[in-house]
Amino acid sequence: MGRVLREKAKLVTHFTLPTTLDTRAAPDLLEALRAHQGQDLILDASKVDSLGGLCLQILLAAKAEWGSSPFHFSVENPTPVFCEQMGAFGAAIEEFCLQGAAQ
Amino acid sequence: MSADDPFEAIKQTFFLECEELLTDLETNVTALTFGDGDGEAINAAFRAVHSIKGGAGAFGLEELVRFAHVFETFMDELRSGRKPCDDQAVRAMLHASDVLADHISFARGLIPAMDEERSNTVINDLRELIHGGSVSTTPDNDPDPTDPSLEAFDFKPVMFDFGALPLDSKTETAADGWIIEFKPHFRLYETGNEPSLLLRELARLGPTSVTIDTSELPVLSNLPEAGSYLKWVVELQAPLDRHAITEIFEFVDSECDLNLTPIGGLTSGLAGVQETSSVPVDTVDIAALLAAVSEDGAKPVPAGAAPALAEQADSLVPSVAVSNDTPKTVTAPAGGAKQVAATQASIRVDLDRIDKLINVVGELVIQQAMLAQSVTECGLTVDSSVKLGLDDLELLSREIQDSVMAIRAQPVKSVFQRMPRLVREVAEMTGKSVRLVTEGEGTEVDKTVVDRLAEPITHMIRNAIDHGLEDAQGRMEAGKSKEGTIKLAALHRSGHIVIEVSDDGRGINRERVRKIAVERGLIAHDANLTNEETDNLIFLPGFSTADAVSDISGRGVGMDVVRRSIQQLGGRISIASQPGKGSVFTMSLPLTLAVQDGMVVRSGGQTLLAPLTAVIESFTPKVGDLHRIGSGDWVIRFRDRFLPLINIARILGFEEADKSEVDDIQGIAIVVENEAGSQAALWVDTIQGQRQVVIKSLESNYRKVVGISAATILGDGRVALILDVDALIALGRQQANHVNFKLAS
Amino acid sequence: MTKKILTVDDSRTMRDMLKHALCDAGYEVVQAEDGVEGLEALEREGADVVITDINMPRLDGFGLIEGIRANPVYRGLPILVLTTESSGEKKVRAKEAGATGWIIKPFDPIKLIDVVRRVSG
Repeated sequence: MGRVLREKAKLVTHFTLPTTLDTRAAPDLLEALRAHQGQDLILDASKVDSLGGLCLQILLAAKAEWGSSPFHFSVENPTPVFCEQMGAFGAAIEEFCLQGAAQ
Repeated sequence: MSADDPFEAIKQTFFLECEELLTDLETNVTALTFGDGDGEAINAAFRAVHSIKGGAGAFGLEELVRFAHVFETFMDELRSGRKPCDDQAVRAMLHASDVLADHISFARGLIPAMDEERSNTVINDLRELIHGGSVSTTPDNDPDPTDPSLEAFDFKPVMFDFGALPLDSKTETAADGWIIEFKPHFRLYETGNEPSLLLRELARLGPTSVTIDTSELPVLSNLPEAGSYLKWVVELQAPLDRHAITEIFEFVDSECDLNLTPIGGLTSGLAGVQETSSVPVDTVDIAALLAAVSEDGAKPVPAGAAPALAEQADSLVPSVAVSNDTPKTVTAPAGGAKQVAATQASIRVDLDRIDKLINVVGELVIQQAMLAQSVTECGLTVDSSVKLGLDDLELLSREIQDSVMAIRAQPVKSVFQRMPRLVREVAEMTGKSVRLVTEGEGTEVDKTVVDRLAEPITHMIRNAIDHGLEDAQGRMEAGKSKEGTIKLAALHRSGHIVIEVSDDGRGINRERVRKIAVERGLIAHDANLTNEETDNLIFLPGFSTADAVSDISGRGVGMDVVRRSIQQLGGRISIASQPGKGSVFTMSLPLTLAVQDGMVVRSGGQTLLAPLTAVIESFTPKVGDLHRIGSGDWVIRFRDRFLPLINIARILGFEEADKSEVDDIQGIAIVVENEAGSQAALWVDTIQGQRQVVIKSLESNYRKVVGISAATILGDGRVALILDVDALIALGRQQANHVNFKLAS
Repeated sequence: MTKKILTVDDSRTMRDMLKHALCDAGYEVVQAEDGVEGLEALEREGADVVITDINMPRLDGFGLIEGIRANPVYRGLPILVLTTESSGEKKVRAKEAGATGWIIKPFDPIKLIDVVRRVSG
């Protein structure tokens, strides 16, 4: 089990989310995430200092996409701002992180 | 009201801006008057009034706002083409411009009272034109001249007369809080709104719990770039009025689906959606409600939203495609480019700062001159590097001084543009038909001078219309066009600004002028005067009297007062007239009142400065040129005349007694002339040269001294007094009269 | 981080008032006198929020908004229009052009800041 995970981990793509996830950033984010479909994906949210509705929508759609696929998807190192904004949107950050932990 | 009060400072800015806006208004309405205005003229006029209204509103100047509003409404009718921009309309605008200017002057405290009656009359006229005559024409019947139907609509600082939801028309206050369902459309994002901010605003109103509904959200691979699928349900626990919530969604009213449901019913007694109003809401209830609401609300949305989204997706594509070209297509429409360059290249600076700079630069010039003098005294050769360097420094200092003076320069336009109104008013009062032609509005002159031009110009124009121009019949008889022309021109001439006010009227009636002058004892009955001298008699003190001054041109002020005020500015005024053809008033003023060119002279051990503008000539008299008249006054032969000789040292008290005998006199005579052309000779010991000096007011530093207008500091650091030539000539006039008398007899 | 606000108005009074209110609230202010200058200033200096008058020479507020919205670089940029007209027409037109919201003149400085905060965070 641990071995499998370790081997899988080698294929995991780390993608660092941009600082600003506002309306302007949405098209690029959509494109970037689509480019990683069919791979294990870990989003590094350590730089995020704002999150808007459109990017949230993309992240949630990505989560749903990956959720119906065999690949791993999670968010790592979320900034407090990121967690806070997720919470304000009524979207639990834990879901993103727990999903990764569960698999 | 302190100077530091930013509100007060902005208010002052506003009034300054009003002056500019009034000028714009005047220019554009005038353009319409002459029929050479186009669509842009009426638009620009509209903008001017609109801006005045905007600022006035901010400062609570209600009367001004009300008037500007009616005026603006009227112009809106014109620019939209709903009403024709005909003669009547233009006349109404001219009147309204005048009253608007009065309102501003009143708000600014420049005039003590507002002519309410006139204002109301104009308001009524405008309203009548706006309504096409459907409104009562008798203002007396109308207690409120500002037509509430026009007013109430606008200019209330109310934030949500438009954004309110349809169901928001009545006040509804929820007992315990609200369930807010909110589904943004993609357009909401496109217009720069952001759900997270809206949710945050809701959270400011009270404790919220937010649930996100992702039931409509496609997976990533099916997610369109231009789509909005998230929906939120917010439960807000605060007994608020519906307005408090709709206000937050004010901007996005048409860009989202929004549903508000009161929790605990409505306190207003209106039917609440929920029946649980009497039960204190606990968390279980809320969760249940929440579930129920989101079930209900979630379903109907997609059907309506989908086509809209498709549409928005389409519209997004072209807008992205044209993006690179668009900035180019929106750059300046033709004709505007010049203006940009002008506005971009200008900054606004406090006059105080510039004056300080001028003073400092003045000191610099003086310091430089002192240094140059010291160096010369050291005996350095002309080609020494120190001397050459100093020469360069002098050039630079002069250049700095010129540049600084240029900062204060302003076109006379601001004064000229006040004149069309004056001409209209005086023309109306006198029943004459007058056209004003202006020339050289762009001529620049120091701000101090610009500010003080208005009064004499006003007076000269009044005089020209009232006395110069014949009435319509008189003109016809003289074979002239019915409409008289007044020309106002500005030009630069040899370091001065020259303002000319000319008319094509009857010219000066010399016989009458001469008669009056003799009656008033201003000239001897047999005095031999040239035409020009006769014309200029009107400037003599005591010439203008009740029967010579009508209430229009005179306002109790004679031409001598005009001349006096111009002389105080270091200027001169004269008149030239051609019987039957018209008159030209010519006023010549220095370009600045801050520096002066002068002749440095020594007298009685003092250094003095004679303003170069007044100096005609200087010469060393021969013994036979000087004559003593009667008890001790001296005259000097200059060309073929005798001029009173004013011994500066004695008249200013530098020398106690008149010790001079004709044979002893060693000195130089400087012939000076005042604006009226009166001449005298100033007697001084030596002339030391000419230079430009910075004027330091004596009155503000010391007190008014007769015969001295100001002071300056010379290159060697000595203070030099600047001679007040007019006052000196006036002092010498007693001698002059005496002389004339003697010569005549 | 200080937010930068671009104010576009042909009235100096209005620019001064906006600047005063916004600077007091800790915003950085860039000023322009009409739509054309506004676009230039935005390109040159950028902005977190644009506040624009409607009636202006050369390029009016609607034109300015359309110009900004046509450029994807400024997607989502909050744009507020200043309007004395509380009538719906101007607001609808501003909205159609892509305005985020509006501020009604004369404005209360506190309300102004409220509105700016509401659209810019």
